[in-house]
Amino acid sequence: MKHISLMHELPAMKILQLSGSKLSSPYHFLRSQKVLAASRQVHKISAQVLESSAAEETVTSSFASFIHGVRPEHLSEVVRHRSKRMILDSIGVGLVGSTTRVFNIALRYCQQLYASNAVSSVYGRKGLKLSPALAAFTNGVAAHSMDFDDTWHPATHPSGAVLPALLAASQMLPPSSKPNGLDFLLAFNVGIEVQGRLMRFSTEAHNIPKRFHPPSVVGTMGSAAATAKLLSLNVTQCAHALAIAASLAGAPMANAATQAKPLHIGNATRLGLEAALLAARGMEASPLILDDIPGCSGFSAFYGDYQPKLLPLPANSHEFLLEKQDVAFKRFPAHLGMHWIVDAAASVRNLLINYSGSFSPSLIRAILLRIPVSKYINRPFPESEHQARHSFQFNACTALLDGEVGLNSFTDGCLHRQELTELLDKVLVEHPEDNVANFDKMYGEIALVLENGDVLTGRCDTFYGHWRKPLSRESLLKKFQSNASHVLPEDKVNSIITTVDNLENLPDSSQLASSL
Amino acid sequence: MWAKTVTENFANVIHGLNASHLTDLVIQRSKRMILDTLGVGLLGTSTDVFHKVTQYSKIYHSDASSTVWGHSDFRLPPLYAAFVNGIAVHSMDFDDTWHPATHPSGAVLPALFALSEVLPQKQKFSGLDMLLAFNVGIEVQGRLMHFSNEASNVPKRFHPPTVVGTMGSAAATAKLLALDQFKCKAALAVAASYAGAPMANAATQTKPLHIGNAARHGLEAACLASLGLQGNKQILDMESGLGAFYTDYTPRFLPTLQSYSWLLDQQDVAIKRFPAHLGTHWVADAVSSLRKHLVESDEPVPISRIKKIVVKVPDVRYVNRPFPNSEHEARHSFQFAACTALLDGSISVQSFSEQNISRPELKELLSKTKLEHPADNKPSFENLYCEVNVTLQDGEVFREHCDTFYGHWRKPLSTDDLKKKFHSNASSVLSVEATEGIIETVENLEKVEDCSVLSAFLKGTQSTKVLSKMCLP
Repeated sequence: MKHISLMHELPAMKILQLSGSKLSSPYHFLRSQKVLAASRQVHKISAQVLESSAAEETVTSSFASFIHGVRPEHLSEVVRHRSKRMILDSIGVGLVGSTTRVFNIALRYCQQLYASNAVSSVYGRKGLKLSPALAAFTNGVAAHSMDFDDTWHPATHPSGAVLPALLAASQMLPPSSKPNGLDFLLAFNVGIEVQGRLMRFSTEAHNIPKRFHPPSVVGTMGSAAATAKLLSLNVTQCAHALAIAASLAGAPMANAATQAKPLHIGNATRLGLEAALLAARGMEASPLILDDIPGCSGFSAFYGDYQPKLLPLPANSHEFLLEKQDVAFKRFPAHLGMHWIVDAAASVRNLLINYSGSFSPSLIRAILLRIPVSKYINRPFPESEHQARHSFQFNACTALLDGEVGLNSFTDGCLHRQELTELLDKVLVEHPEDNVANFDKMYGEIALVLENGDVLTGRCDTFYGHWRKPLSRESLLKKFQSNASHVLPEDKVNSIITTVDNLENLPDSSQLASSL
Repeated sequence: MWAKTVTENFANVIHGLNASHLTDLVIQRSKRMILDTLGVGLLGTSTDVFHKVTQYSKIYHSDASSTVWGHSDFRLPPLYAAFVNGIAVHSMDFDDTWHPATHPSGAVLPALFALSEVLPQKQKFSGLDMLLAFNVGIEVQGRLMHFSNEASNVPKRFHPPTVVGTMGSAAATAKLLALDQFKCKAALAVAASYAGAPMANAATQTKPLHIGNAARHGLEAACLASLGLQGNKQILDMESGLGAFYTDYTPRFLPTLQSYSWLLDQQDVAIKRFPAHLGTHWVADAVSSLRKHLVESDEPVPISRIKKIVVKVPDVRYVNRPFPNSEHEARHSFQFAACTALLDGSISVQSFSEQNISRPELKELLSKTKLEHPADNKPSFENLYCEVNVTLQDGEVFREHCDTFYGHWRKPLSTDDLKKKFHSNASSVLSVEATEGIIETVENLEKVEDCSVLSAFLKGTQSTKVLSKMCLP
């Protein structure tokens, strides 16, 4: 009997086959490790085990060890007794609770959302449909999976938190009430606008974040607002959608630069969608969620300083923030801060080539990076692609070596190049006081100190793609074509471009979702 | 229309904006954003993380499902079974409370039950497996709360079940799945990114979702970890990790497994006798005692003879509601608890019905009630007390004091009374056999070979009475 020894070794096709069959459970991947360990005999897994107990103990690993290592024998009498009382009480309370109105709403929501005919499309998976919330989740994860999505000021990734929810929702609605392209575009902008307005409630939001990852805070709210708009919820429901969403917002920064970071956008878009759907079904929450109530935090819970302001009421014209403040589009898949240093590195590389005829790393004694202070993007020797996308050092050296940074720069092969490691060894980091950790004000500067004592400097104040120097239409299209053609044929790629170009004229916006 | 609050204002704007408000520039820019996002998303489908989450999400395509407590007529995917059952547990604020403050069990139990039902047939969980996983989930919550001094007091910023409850659910699920250390770590890391909901939604209909979400998100985090998803390996160590939810944060190591000492051993939970915020239980006991001085137990209280009622409690904003408007507000109102206990002698499930909330006699008493916050009355479930003074028109004053209500960890419910509470609750949706069956199974949980019997009991059978209850608007 074949045993599945490592979850991630199971190729995608096999999973499709398994889940298609009614006989086997798609939960096979959850087969208890106990069963697997027994069947695997003593076969040990590779890299993970090497990262063994030799590594220093952290609080986190002590918890992991506890969870993993604790046994029934560790349960004392008192603990057994008390916990059984808790279990009994909890069940009883749950049973009586199943007669409540809130339960009824939640239940109806779940049943309708998880009916067996899944309706929403998934990027790059023609023919596959998932329930709307999960399609939104998956597509949101895709959008942020490589840190290649747009960035705004104050800092967040606005579009990935909104678009997947709208795409999913557009396919949910019955044919008679499908929103047209203009409705879609409006809802999208509502989602962006709300995010921007909320970020202006706090001065700390202007700088590169330290505590909560902004997409998980304002992105969730933006998704709820956008979905509420697309579904034409009434005013009260719109308010409740925001409030319910607040209870689903907020993920800590520590998971940035890890594989879990993309979930921040996936969850923002999915949970905002869910909040709006719950509000549509009558769920109620705090009517003062955005207001400042001392002693009982609402949305203010996520900020150290919080001064909410009224949104100007639309009469004939509303000034959207996007009018005054554009987004930045990335040219390569890494944290926005990297784009300054890469442009600076490219220019100093040219200087070196002009100086000595070619790029010779051996001429370089030291590489000085002058960057703002931001712990999570300061990584001298990144180990994973996720860390590499959040490393000034890595991106600077890659640009020095190759002249640019691209998709392939983060593959395993490129991550661990010998020449790259040698360059990384020469890097020193400086934090000039005037280099503020703020996407509107920061700069990137790189000085190559040569063996002979000469110093060559490159500096970038505004990289190409920043809102002060936006990508041209050609460049934007080139990026789209390059990305989309990884999974779609050329004619499909071009038709999406045409559809989005003429979005306001599209009679049925769910076509956009189904073309993915 | 002028909005009185920022929230209302936002809702008005979201609702009121229409296509004509879009300018050309905004249209142009936003279309660029849409295009870029689509491209980036399409590209992203080739990533490992995308592959993992799709594998996970496809579950909801299938027939595999879990029990919705009290419902034999349909089932839900486990994530959503955990969600709704968790909501049920916290729907009336009737579930257990610990110190430091959180509602530990509701965040964990529904996730474990839901998961236990979908694992492959040959996989059975014994009662002991369940009991162990449950305790891991409780223990982790308790330990995490000890990382912050602010956690010892009644919360102000984040609702604790949404912070530690999510982590507890992830830990418990990881245990049930017998994940290795690395995946246990990943489960915790991923869970942290789902944690945290603000206090403002307490005393609203959304509060129960805090427990429902904690259960389902923790479960999801563990499932994702099981698929190989990783997060920050030092999630509990960093201020920008779980520390993000606290203003003071000092993580500590757990005791060694050689001689593990559980928090539940040293600190029991409080079990509620009626469905309302724990703080109201002190008030109820104080007032019930005081009422006995006023009248015989079966006599009505002479409302007109009462001049004023002063309730001395700690300063806890979200339980200070002089005139609650909904059942959710009523469950979070010291004043409501005092007046109900005074009128009826005790508080029960029925006290929060529409009719009872809007009784004129109650409103009259409420208008005579005020709260005071003595400096020595600390907002901590370990230290708080309640003192009630009732002054009659003729000047006579009655006074009672409650330090420890019956059901608090210092004065736990007897086994009989715990069973009585369960009987009363469960029989609203289950048959007598199922109710008895659950009591007996849980009583002997460590000897049960296959805990799926519990899920079978929980399904219940549908009588028309129960069905009609479910059709409530």
